Formats: sequence, structure tokens, C-alpha cells
Amino acid sequence: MEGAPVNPIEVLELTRDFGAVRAVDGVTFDVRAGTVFGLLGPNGAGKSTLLKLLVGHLRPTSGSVVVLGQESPRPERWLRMGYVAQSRHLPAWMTGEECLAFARSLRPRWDTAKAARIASRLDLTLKSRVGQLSRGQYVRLQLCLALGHSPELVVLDEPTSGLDPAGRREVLSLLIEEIARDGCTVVFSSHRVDDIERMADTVAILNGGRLEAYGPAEDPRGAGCPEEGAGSLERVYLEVTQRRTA
Amino acid sequence: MILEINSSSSTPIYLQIVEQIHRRIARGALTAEDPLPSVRQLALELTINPNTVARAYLELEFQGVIYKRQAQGTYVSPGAGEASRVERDRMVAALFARAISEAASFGMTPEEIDGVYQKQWRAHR
Repeated sequence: MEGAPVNPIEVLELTRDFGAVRAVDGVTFDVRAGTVFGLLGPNGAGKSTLLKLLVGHLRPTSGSVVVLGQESPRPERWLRMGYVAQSRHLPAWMTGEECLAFARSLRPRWDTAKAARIASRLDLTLKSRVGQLSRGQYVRLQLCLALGHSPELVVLDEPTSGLDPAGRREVLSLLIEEIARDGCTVVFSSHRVDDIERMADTVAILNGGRLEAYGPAEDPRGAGCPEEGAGSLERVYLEVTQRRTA
Repeated sequence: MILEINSSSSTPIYLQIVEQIHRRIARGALTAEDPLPSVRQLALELTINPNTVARAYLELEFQGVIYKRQAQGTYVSPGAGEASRVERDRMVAALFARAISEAASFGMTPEEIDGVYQKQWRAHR
């Protein structure tokens, strides 16, 4: 059909090398609009590299990544997305307030009231400099920056790692509210099976750069017939990751 | 409404919600025309994906257990008690069938199985 809407993310045979190391190896998947895509994998599986390829911070060695209908990252696309990185990339000398003002100046659709609402809900200390923020506070600031313009697509790299149980719950609740908003698509990675199970519609398990399983959350192998017990995400995850290291 | 999600269970989360709502209706804790929380509310309460709650509600709607009132929310259907009792009988029958086939594989007679059943029921009470 001419002009039919495409999926917000379409990845085909995607590979990325760093020198002799193949970090992402021939990965293919789609993310449907309005769904939550959970990327699960042990440390070093290639999750961050894959997410950086999605947001356009890295270029593929081969294969293609089409995000919001565009193959190469353009500023216009960036305005429709939100990204929470795992590494610390915000300038350490800026205060939280200055970061938010900067984001507002770059994003025409920035909603000051919404950003303030998120900040107060997350108990974010906006007066402190970025360099002085704890891991938990830093993630909260990034969430504020990523969601303040109500993006169509949110990509989050391990948003709950290093948080205490209350912090985890807070972050997940915030995401739930975003998902409940019409048309918001979420991609997030974690090495915690329970986070992915609670939040994802579709699950992909990455190990050694390869997609070892990809399917609905209750049937991660995409077998089409989730047998009771056989499809449990935790079991599939353990099988997949131990097979590789064995 | 207090539901519990067991993330180490092999039952998918949406089915856990479906089963728990059936259970409430079957024992009378929820009755016809009682309102259910909104999808967003329940998702926040359980910290799960709203799409999962929506899917559970769709499943229950399909079974005739709940219904949506235009722009007002979701309610327990008038015929829900009947539907939930049918579901209850089905679930309990499946559990007994499994227990009986286990017992039979050990060579137990119906009388011996009945003895175990009587003993367990007394212990439960």
C-alpha cells in the first residue's frame, strides 16, 4: 500500500565492528508503534552498541537501521526522539536547571510544565552540578531531558541499573505513564529479566552481539505456541546465555 | 484493587491478571457492575506495561466477564459470576486431572487417591 505507515524501527542484518571485534552481528528486528521493546542481555552483549546504532550515535559497518522512516540520522528525527544513555555524557559543569534550559532552546515542542512535573515527581535536585549527581540523580535528569518534549520514540539504555528498589519503581512508573500516552514507542535495555518481563511487549535477547531470541514477552522464542512453563523468559534467558559461555 | 504479579511464575503476566480477576468474581469479592481500575491506574499499581493490562482486559471482555461503558470505564458484566464459575471449574478440573495422572503413574487406586484427597481437605480446613 502506497504511503502505508512503517514501523518506527526497522533493523535489517545490522553489523557493527570495532577493529577486529564484532560488537553487533547480523541483527534483524522491527519495533511496532506504541509498543515496548525490551532488549535483554548480559554485560558486554552489545546492547549499548545496538542502542547507539538506533539513535544514530554510531554508524553501521553493514546492514541498515531505519528509525522513524529515515535511514540516516537528521536533526529533524532527533527532535522526535528521547534518549537515555548509560554513560555520562552531559557536561559536568552545568547545573540540572541549565541542562533543562538548554534542551528547551533546542526542542521546539519542549513542554516546560511537563519537565517541571517530572523533575518534582522524581525529586530531582536541579541546583546541583551534573558532575556532583549520584547515578540515581543522573538517570532522573536524563529522563527529564528525554521526555520533556513528549517524543514519539524513547530509547533507554539500562535506565534502572544502579538504582535502589524505590528508584527503580519510580523510573518504571514514569515510563508507564509515557507508554499510556498515545503513540509513544519505547525501546529499553536491561540485564534484569524481571524489568523486561514487566515492561516489554516484545523481547529480544542479545548475547555475543547476536540476537538469540526475539518474540512476544510470553513467547520469547517466537515459537507461536507458548507452552506453559516452556516459554518463561527467565528460563529462555538462562538457556541462551549459558549455551554461549559453555 | 490489590492484585499480585509473580514475575518468577511461568504464567504470562496478562494471564495472571485474568486469573486473579476470575478468582475475585468467583468468590464474590467482585460482583456485577463493580468498576475496575483504569488501564493506566492498574499498570502503575502493579508497575507493569499498560499494554499488558489492556490485553488482560480485552481477554476478559472477550470472555464476557467485563464490559466497557463508553468513556466511563470498565465494569464487571451482569453474567460474570456464571462465566467465572465456568472458568473456575475448568481450572480446578485441570489441576485434579494432573494430580490424578501423577497418582496413577505411581499405581494408586481410586480409593487410595480419595483417601489422600480426604486427608488433604481436612488439613486445609
